[in-house]
Amino acid sequence: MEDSLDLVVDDLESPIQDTLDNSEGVVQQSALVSHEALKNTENLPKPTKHVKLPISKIKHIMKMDPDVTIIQQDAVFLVCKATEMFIEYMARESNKQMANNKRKTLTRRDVDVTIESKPQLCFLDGALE
Amino acid sequence: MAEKIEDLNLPSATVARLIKESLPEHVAVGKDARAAISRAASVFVMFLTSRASQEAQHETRKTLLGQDVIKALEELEFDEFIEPLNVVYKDFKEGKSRKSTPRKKAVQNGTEDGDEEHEDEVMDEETGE
Repeated sequence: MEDSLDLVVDDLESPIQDTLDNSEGVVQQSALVSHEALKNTENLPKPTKHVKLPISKIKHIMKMDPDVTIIQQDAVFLVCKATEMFIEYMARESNKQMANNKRKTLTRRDVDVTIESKPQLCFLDGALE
Repeated sequence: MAEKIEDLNLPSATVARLIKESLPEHVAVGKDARAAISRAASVFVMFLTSRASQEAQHETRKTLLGQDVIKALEELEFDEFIEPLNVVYKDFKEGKSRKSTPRKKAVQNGTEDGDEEHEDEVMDEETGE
């Protein structure tokens, strides 16, 4: 038994070092963790953030709709990602408006003009107070 | 339930970053433009959710699914988002399936050695406690 414990600790020190920086306690408590399990941890993708906007916040806004009861996780993810794309889209389009006027700072006016000029943005009419 | 208006706001730093990253370096973004785009994004979430919810209702479903969101984007004429969204969605799903592997069970069971060999022992330990 002890031998296998040593094996676990020694084997894992270098490969795991990076991924378990703050988890020395975990490695020391290797008695509680199987060798196989930790080995597989190496192959875990490092927590690549797929989204930048907070999923919880997006979900919170979605749930404000009275017709919405249960939301699948994928749906929240897609709305979140679509919103990021939307922000980028608004920025790019507003920039085009600004470029027409040869300025270098994006203003509220550029955003307003963008909203007025794009049919798919009509849902924003009057929505920005 | 007193929902503050601020609850709808997305984190300003994140929105600012998304805007900045989609613009050429020399372009500055005014505070009012940033606020307008942020607000627009919140409204977009609600609008997209509402539309997606309608899609689900058409199919007499109570759960909002990923496909409803995709369909809603089509209907709202944001087709250009769909292809890049599907690419990220694929990564997201793959990441999810990688996480939910049997190894999780092993960690929880607290096996010391290879899972299969000592499965019986583990079972005994669990029931014993």
